[in-house]
Amino acid sequence: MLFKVALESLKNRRSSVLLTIFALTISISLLLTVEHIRQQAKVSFTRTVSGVDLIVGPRTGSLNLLLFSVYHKGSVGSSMEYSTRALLSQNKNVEWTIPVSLGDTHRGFTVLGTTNDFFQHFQYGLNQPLQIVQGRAFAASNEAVLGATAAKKLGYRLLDGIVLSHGLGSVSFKQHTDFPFKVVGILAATGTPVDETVHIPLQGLAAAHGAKNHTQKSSFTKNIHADKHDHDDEHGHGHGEYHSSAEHQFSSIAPNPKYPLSQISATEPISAIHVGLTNPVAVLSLQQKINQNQEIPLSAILPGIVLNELWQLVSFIEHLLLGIAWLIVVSSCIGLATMLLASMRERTKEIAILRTLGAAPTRIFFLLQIEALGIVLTAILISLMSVTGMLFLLQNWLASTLGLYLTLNLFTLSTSLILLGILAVTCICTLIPAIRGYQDALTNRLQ
Amino acid sequence: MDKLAAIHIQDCHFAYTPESPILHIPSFIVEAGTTVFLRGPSGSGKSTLLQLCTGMLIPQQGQISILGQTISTLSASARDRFRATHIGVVLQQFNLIDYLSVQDNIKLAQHFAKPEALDKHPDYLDELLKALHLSQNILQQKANALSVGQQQRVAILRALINRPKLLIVDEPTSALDEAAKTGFMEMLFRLQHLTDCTLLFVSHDMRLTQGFDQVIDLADINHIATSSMSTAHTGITTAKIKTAKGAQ
Repeated sequence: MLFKVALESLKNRRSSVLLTIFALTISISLLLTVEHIRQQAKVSFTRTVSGVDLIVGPRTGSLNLLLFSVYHKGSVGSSMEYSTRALLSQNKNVEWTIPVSLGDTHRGFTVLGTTNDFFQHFQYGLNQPLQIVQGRAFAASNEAVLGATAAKKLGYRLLDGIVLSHGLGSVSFKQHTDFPFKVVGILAATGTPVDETVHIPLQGLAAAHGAKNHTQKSSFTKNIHADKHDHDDEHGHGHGEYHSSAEHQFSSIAPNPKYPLSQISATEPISAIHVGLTNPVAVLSLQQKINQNQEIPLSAILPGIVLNELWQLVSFIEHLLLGIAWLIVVSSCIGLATMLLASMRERTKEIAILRTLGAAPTRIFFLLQIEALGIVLTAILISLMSVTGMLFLLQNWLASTLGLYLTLNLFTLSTSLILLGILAVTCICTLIPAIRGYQDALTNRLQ
Repeated sequence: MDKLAAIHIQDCHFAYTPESPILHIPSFIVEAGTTVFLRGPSGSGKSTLLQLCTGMLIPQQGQISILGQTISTLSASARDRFRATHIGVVLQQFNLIDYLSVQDNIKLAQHFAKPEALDKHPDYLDELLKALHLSQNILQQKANALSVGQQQRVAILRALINRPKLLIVDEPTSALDEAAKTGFMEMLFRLQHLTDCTLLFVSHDMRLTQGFDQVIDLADINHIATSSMSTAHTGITTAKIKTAKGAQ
């Protein structure tokens, strides 16, 4: 009955109640958004790379190297030679290495030149390996393996042909039309930048860049020109001899023999090398050794540590934003209390009636608390729906432009705690009008 | 005799502030089942007396028994419960909560009463409606959509819904015109007879005394208040004037 009275009473004062709900909804939405993005950004950033002990790149800032090699953001001015990989592999603690080369795009998606080691060794989240859900890994140099989002957004399926563009813009005037690629594999979604990436073999990248940059142009460019004509009928050819590739278990699609995964030239420029160690204890000494190498200017970073540094930088802003959001929520709650307090003047009559009917002063106190909580719960519900809706709409944009992979599920432990916190703040702020109501009820006169 | 009295006040003192006492009633008894007209102009301590009788205030001294229950010694919540269950109150105005329907206003009265005291008889409400010349569909209407006369009749209905043994009515007719007043008083007596409750009717309008078993002037039972020295506020003013005169 008290709930009914509260509801009818709120309905009776609907214009001020609706305004209050509106103000609260804005502030709660803001708080939820800040908190959600804060959490998710951290999760999304830290889950991007796992199992990689060391990232080695040309001499640059550690943050820069991490952002470039893992998140594909920013740029590393220089590159290093492919031969560095062999040099690293000589170290007895090194178990595996993944060379990566960046700089090209395909219709806005990053193109990553690498080797099949990438699919074998790269991990994300909690040591989850990459999974090719359709097709197979590279078996020829003109093949591409797509990240889940890239495949979905571009509408590509296996055996579709793609052409790379030079540079990291989504619009590029320089197209590597001479060397088209063929989609042979699609990766499972990971919620990391891998989803937004087109993976091609290093040999293919070199061929696409063609004669201009490389001394090694000879064989590839010749091949390309020779094979341009029979590009279309290559599906039918089944050539068993290319099963030298480690990934031949996927080979329902036959590789084109004209584009072999030949030896990569030692001078082929690459952007970074992901390194996995047999003995993780050796990581610091190896890092030091690489960083202090006089002959080749290299940088080696521990991804976990640099990620932490990154978060240290961000956490100040993160806490500031959260603090501001909380202040806005508190001020809205005070606004709510003010609204209730202002309504007390016109409600003395109502309180007198309730008292006459035998309502204890505590009931009046709870009536006001119920009204306030009702308003805030409504605002919370609207906020949850609007934030979820907003995230749903912005999800793709955030993923492709900021590399933020957000889930739509707002109900984490910390958001639940925040919602409880909001309710607590409400109860505290409403104490003022509720106590006022209680006192009115105690001293109320019949007339 | 205590058990028989609906209201039994003994040597009751009350003051909001110690320096300005409002009431001192050596003895006031309303026999159960009777109808009593209590004359008291506004500001004579009448409202205070009613609040004492309904347990919303307790005297600083003395004893108040309602329906045999000494309410001045009950806890605050027990007094509230007692009022909700056993006493029906109709005031001059502001009886109904505007934004609730008539039905919800009635339910509210039942809500605060002891559940076991609720009248389970399904025809009781209809009986009351009929006696008050109210139609069934008034139940769905919002209280603020009713005329003043209808509001007062609904207030009576609501006051009686828990079958109280004591009905306290305070200036219920002041907002009504002459014709409506007569009709209202007739209904009130009929309902008092129907429900067999004790009726304490408070008014300053001596034209309404007809039909009551007893007519009492508040000034006769209250040894402090006079009609000239009325509320706490004017009491203080008078006291000040007196001292000022004394000083001269």
